[in-house]
Amino acid sequence: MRDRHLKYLLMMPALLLVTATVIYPLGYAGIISFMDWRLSRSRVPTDFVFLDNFWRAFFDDPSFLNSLGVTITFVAGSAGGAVLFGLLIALLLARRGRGYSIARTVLVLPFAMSPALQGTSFRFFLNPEFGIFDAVLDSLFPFLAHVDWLGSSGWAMTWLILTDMWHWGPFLSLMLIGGLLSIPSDTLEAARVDGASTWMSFWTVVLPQLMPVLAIAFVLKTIFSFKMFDYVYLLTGGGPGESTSTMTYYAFRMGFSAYDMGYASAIAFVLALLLVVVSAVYFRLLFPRGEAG
Amino acid sequence: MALSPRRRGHVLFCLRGIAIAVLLAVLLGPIAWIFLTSIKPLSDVYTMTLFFDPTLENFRAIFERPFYVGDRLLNSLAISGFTVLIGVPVALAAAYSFSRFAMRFKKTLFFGVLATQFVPPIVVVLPFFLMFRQLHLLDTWTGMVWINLSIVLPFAIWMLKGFIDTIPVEMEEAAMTDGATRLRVIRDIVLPVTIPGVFVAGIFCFIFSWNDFLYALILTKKEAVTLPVVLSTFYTEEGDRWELMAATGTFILLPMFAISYFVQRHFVHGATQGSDR
Amino acid sequence: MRTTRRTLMGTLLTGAVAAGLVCGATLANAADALPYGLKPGKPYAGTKLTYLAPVAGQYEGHEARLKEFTDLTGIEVEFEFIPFRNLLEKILAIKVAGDGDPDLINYKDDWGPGLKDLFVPIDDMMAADKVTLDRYYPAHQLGVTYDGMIYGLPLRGHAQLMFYRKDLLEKHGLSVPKTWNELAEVASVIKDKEGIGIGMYYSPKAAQNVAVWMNILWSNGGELFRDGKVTFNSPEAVEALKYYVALENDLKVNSEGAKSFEQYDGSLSMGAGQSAFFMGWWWHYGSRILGKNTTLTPEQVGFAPLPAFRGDKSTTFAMSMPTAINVNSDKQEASWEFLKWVSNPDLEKRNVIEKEKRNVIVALHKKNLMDEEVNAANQGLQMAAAGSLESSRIFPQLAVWPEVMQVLANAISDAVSNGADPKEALDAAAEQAQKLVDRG
Repeated sequence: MRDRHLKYLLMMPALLLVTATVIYPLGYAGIISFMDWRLSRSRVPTDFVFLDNFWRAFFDDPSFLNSLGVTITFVAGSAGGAVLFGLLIALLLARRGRGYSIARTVLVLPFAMSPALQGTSFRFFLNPEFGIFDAVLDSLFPFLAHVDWLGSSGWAMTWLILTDMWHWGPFLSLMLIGGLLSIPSDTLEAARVDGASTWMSFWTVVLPQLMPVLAIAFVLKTIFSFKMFDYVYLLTGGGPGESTSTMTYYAFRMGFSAYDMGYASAIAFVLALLLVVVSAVYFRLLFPRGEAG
Repeated sequence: MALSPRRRGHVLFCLRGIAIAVLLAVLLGPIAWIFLTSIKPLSDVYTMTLFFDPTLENFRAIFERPFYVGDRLLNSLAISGFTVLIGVPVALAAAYSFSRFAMRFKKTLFFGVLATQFVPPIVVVLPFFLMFRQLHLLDTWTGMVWINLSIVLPFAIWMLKGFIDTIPVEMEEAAMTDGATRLRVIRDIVLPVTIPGVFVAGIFCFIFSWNDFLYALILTKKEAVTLPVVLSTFYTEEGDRWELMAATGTFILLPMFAISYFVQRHFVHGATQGSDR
Repeated sequence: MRTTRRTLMGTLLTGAVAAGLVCGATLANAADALPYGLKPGKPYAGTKLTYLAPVAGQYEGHEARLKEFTDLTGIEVEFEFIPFRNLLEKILAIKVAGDGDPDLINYKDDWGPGLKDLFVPIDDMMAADKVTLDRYYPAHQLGVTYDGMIYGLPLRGHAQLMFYRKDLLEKHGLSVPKTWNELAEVASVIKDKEGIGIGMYYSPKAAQNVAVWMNILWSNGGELFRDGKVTFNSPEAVEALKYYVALENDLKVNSEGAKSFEQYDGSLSMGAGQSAFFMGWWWHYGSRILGKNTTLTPEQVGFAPLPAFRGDKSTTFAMSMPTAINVNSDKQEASWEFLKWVSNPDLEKRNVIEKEKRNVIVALHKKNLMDEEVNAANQGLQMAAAGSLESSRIFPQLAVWPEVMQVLANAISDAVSNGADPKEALDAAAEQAQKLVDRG
């Protein structure tokens, strides 16, 4: 078969499957973001209100603006943190040998743990009376003994980010190890023969080779960080105050606790728009020569 | 203080060893503690004691009324299994096409596929519910596999494209000059080299659909209920039944050990093949 | 020793009740009338109902005895258990779908105003079968009544109580505090001597901090709303919040971790011997303070009404979980039969005294709360709660109350954790809440 046809044929099943599934729900959610749909009053959307929901978000709702800032902080911390953590793990474990291979077996587990169990457990781990994290940290750093981990804004955000990193870092490292191990060993040998130090060869050989995978890991993690919901819900409930109330959490509150689905959709689409902008910027930065397609 | 290259090698080796040990402790510590929680008697669950009478009481409880973890296991396995079996080949084909061919609107398409995942599930779950109701797909394996596919495919395509991009295109060109067809090239040259990527994408698809909660909560009710929904029933009005969650979590995690061991072997195998060529 | 005695008693009581029922049933058969106002002649035999309920001992107890109902009426019922935390989402999906399945839905009373067009008003059915709300306490009656119509019957409900370590108070010659100031004094003595304080909670997660603050507010003469206007930034409210915050930050009488605790953590702390006081729903007594997870004995734990802030009378509040009939169900009459059966006081009583099967302490019927057997099986908890229930109130009946409560919870948490000024925090919350209320 000719490539001319084949290239579309190969793509078709995936594209059809995805678009056929999401077109209705996304379209529906998109439309109701311009509508008044208060579940407490009506089981169907009622009136078109045009941009009212968006106007309300940006000009009449401090909690929404707060959630915008919280989301950006969280995304910066967790996407950057998880990718770095993953890279660190990958560099440590991307070696041949039985020991390394066994160590790598562990990497699937944090990702495989259900976020519900992880969130609940980590919250208990931080309990000052019987929490294992609290106990370990207190004995390592006695000056932190009286910190109420989820009771102060800075620490609560830190733990939210760490919890998310623990879940994602090892999985991202699997992606990166895949990339690292497929770097031909003669390329590395050649660099070594040329007298490059480990550090130098990391920058000149390893990193450029790894770039496509690294970039994709970063894009994917950014998307998931923007959409993260479980850990806020399970660890902090958005608190203390509203210091960890992210946009997804706030949209959830508006939809299912204030019964305002139109407004919740508007918030969700602001988030989606933000993601479009951020990913477009990534595209420009990470794939400078347009390799991404 | 200058170290001889050899001594430096030793120091580096030790540092690496320590770093790996710390890493394993960080990753395995919480899992081990959750496992311990699952075998503690209730009186020791909310303590830090390491001396307790291990019990299987929690494991017994989760298989009984009203949780029935055993019944839900099959649903979870089937839904995640089918998602992987369908998702990975479909994603691989699309990823290869995106990676290797030039076409109009490719960038837009590629970006668009991912952009379908930009809206948080919280606001699309009700539209999904209405759609599935119309199509009579509520509470069915088909429906759950379908929705999971639509979520994992975009990400899997991206991951796989990343891996395929790292493979030098020259190998394929050489083979094609020798008269191999494109499909053959994909099967014999690309696939073996991308095996690590295929497994990473497979793991992603499996685990992501395995852990999906919100869709499963709203779109199933009896026949197709999955484990995460059961896990959440331990959030009772009378507080979180952590010991039961831990037992279920441990139970869920066990097959993952097996899977990841299996994956590891192929991981290295495939990667070695790649670099030896 | 204790367990044996309790088990023995339980068995005897169960036997007695069962015997009573058998007699009752026989008599009823003779007269061709069924108990609990059920329609005779099995007019709905063969009907299959579905019932959405959260996981809790009550409902498990009901499910376990379904056969009795099916024997009486020929109606079959299938329970669909849902995680409590996600119950509202599930109910909203049902509402949006407009489906008649499930036929019966258990919900939380403060969601009622937002969900009520999903439910069938049952006034007429109640009148026809002479079922009245009189058998419940006022707070629970109010919890199922919106705009003068009744939408459900409560199956589960809670009163607030203060639990304290009887042994520690006795040891240091202290008496049970009746006001918040006394509580702070007593707690500070115990914290000095024993190192443990009040298992207080301030986390906005689950918004339970609002419940504590509201007690202080009410006792201080404040109101959340007056004539549709938000008034929870009134001077009384600000004073209440200042005091609530001071317990943690100035008087320092709470146990460690209060800032990040939710209600569950507080009772766990008490159960683990790490707190000497705890305030919250009464069910904590059965499953967290004296449950299998603790080593405390009933002799060590006392309970009392919540302290008063001004004067000596406290107004606590109460919640309930009613079951209602889905307005889209085509089996509403059969559903009503089930509702009559499942809400009957005998069933409730059996649930509460059969300790060897499941640990349920929750009863709602006045006569069950005053019942000797019930109280004997539960250390007199019900009798004590009855006092609280007489004078208790419920959450404001507003559709958006769940969200207003969250706004308040955040403000409280902000004041205690981030040092926000109580007045400013409440002003901002009131403004936000007023907008929510106006939007409805």
